[in-house]
Amino acid sequence: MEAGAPVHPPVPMAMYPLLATVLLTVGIVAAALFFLYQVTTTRYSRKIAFEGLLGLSASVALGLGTLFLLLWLAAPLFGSVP
Amino acid sequence: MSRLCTVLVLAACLVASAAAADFVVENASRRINLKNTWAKAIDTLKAKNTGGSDLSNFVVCYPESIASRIAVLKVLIKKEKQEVAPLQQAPQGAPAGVSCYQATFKSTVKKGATVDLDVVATVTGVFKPNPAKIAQGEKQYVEYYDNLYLLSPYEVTEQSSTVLLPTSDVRSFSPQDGGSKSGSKVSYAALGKQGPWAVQQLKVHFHHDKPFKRVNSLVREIEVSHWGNIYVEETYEIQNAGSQHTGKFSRLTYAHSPDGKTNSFPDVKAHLPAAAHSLYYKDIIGNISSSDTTHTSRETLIEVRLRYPLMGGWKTDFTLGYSVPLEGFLYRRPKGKLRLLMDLSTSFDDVWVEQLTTRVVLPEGAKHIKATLPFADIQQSWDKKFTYLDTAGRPVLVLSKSNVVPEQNKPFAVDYSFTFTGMMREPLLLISVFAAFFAAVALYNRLDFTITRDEKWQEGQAHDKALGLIQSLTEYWDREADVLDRLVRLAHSISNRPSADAAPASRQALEAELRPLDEQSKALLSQVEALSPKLAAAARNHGDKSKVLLGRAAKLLSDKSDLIKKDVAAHEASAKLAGATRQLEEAIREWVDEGAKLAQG
Repeated sequence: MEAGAPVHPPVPMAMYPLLATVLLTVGIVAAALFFLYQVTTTRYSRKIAFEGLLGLSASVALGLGTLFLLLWLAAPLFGSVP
Repeated sequence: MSRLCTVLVLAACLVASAAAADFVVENASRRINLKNTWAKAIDTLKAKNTGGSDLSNFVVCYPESIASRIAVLKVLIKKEKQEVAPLQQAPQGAPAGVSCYQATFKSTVKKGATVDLDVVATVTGVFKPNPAKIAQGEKQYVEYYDNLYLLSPYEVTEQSSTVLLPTSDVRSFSPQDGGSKSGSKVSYAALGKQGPWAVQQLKVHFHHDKPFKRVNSLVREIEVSHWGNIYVEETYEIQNAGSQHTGKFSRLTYAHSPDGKTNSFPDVKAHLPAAAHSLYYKDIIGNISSSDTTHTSRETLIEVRLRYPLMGGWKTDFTLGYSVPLEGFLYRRPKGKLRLLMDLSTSFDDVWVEQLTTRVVLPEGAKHIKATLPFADIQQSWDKKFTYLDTAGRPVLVLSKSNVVPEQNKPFAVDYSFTFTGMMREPLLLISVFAAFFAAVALYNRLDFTITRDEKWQEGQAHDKALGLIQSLTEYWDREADVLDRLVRLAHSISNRPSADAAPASRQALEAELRPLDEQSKALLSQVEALSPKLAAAARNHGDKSKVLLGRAAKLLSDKSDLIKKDVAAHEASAKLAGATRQLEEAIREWVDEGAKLAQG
């Protein structure tokens, strides 16, 4: 059966641990900053733009970090995953 | 009318019986190889076309008991495979209990020509253990039943049958006449001329020393993840299909003598791809630690020791899983499609599989799925699997086949299309979940759930609003502090007469910058006044302090200018004013911090 060019993963699998830890760290820091901002300002002094920026970057970092965490631990722990 | 029917029926009969007179098998040499735990019958035939025209069809037949257990049937001419298809009905004149297949030759056999062909049949499960039950330590004897002669619709001129056995321990073989046993071979050398459908039962009763490793069911699940891994998980139910064990089982006897093991087996070996990693071997109880893996550059050899040795009739089940990278199994095809190439069946040696189910799980969003299979009798069906981060479920292609021997473990291909955006669905799902959480928090913080909105609450609200305005004020204060810093630096930079002369002009420019800031902050202050006089007073106080600082900065500037004008060296002047400069800088820092604290409330 003919085959064409081999398919490579978008992110080399050797980078999963590094990516997962870095992204999760950044995400947790951003989440912490977000909650700090929520707690230290009043309803009237909060700026939606800054809040949105913090929240979005935190969720992107946390989301991608969780994905790479799952991918990294999938085979060793569970055997089958995303 | 009835006479016409009779004539037609007679004509049909003639045609049908004439079909059997197409070929004459001049020489049939049958070798029945029973050395393995499945039988392999190789019939080497030399057939002559004695019919009236060129022929391209040839019929081969087997007794029903063997035909129903055929795993592989090949008809080879000069090692080239010919097409074989089962015949729904045996040809005319066949005795009961006979199944036939029709081979279609690639090139026709001319009238009068002879053709040499090999008919190879691999048959599983045809050894009948006799005695059916044995105690531990007894040898396993099995019987093999077949047709002595070539079961054929054609006349056979000359034939011989040889049965190759795994051991030379033969209890009996029948028919006795014509047969001779030498070592581990029973041969019927010259069986003479036989008409079509010559039936004679051949029975060989012998000692089979190999354990019968039968996999009752195998579910092989292959899950493709485009993030970089293909997960393979195989679930086996394996049974010893030899003489059944009866009586007691002594571990001591088993361990201490080869007689204690006889027809049992403790392990199975598999040859996995070289890039296989993250292997696991478990069953419903948990992990099974008794396995050995050897990684070489060509393969990964795993010896899987079962939880207990399987004596005759015993069975066990387990799960073996491993991962392989995409490289070597997943390829790009034209028009944006992808092709997955994997082996169909198990990689264990020496086992045959009664019921094989291969499930190919493709990523969610894979479309236009099509399989290219090595055998025609594989049934396809569809399923859905819901696993990590799935919303609509992953498409599963289910391939089923029964009676699979190791030589049928061929690769199959599954073509599908899957876009990059399809792959992004997973991280986007995670990101949106987190984003929803943060948005919920932000929303909650904007809601007010106080039940009694009394004076104290209103005061609190006014206070908060005022603080908000003061925070905007801090922006102006920061800019004022910046101007003050620049004044101090200007003072520091005066080092000679010309710059001293230029100083006042720069000072005025900087002070001019402060004026619009003052006006805007005044507007804000009046707003704060309306909400909270206390805060307004504090803010005003703070703002006034900046005027004081401005004065000090101006004084520093003029002091430096004067000293320079008096022709004092620049560094001396700086040294003299060092104390004052430092104090001013500290004062500015303090003022900025105070402002920040004020904004915090």
